[in-house]
Amino acid sequence: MRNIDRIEQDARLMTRVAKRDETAYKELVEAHMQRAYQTAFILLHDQSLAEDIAQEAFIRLWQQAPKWKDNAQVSTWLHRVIHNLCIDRLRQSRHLSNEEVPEQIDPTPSPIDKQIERDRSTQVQNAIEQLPVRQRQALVMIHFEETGQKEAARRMGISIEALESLLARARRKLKEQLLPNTDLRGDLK
Amino acid sequence: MTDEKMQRYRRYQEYLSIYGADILKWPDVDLADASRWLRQTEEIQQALEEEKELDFLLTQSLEQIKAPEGLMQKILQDTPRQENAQTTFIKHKKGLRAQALAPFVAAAFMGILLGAYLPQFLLDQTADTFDDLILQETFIEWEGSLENE
Repeated sequence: MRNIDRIEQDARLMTRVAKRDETAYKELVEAHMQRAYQTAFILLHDQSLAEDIAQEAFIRLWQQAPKWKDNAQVSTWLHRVIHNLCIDRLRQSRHLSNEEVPEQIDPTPSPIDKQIERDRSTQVQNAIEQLPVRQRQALVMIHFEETGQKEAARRMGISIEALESLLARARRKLKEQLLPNTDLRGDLK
Repeated sequence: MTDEKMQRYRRYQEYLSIYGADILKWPDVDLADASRWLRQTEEIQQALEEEKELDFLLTQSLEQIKAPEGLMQKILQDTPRQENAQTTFIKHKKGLRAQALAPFVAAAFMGILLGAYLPQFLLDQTADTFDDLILQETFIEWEGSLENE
């Protein structure tokens, strides 16, 4: 489904959800659940927490429906709620202070990490998990959610330059970890 | 090469490392010009390949993340139920409060009727009356004395 069609479809569904139409709600959950869960998982790297976050986000969507504004987009709203819930969870679990988390040096892989090293996707997910939260958040918004630069910067409360700096550092670090046989050719002369 | 062009190419170089290989994600660029730049040198093409590889890995890793099978059902079951549960709880709480208070209210009334418990606002006058009753010899006299007051 094209993005614009999805937005229009969501708006129609939200009107019905506001009237407590559970069929419409089911359609909305079906359309957005996968991406909602993926976003939460990428940010938290924990299946159980990601489930909780996705569930909570949809419950809030249901509760929000009667007050829904016509110009709001479900996907944008959901991603914002999920990001905020994830940041709250990370703060609670002390993975994140109010300050930027210091960047970590590539940690020694645990035995479990070694065991799952062959799984490329897990390796990528682990590499993303190693990123400082702000970098991860920027990467998720730009790469996974395809949020525009201005919107992403606005949501993170930073300038576009700061967002680009976070993204550049995130990608450089991922390349260091995931493409170790290539010297950083992104740094062109 | 003009300064303006050099500056533009420097910006493309930054975009490649910030937004990856997909030039559609680069903000406000002339796509044809950006495509030309990407083909310019072997070094740029090598960097492009590397960014493509990273983009591919990121996309692939996202696709591997699948929501657990039961999640959909869990969300659908819990959402309305939670709201109902909340409403039911509020109703239940109100019912509970009334139910819990009922025996106490009944006991208080019984107490008043039996004269075992005297509400404060009646206490002073009634206590005086009881004192009078004790002081006087009979109930008839006591009743008579009240009428006379």
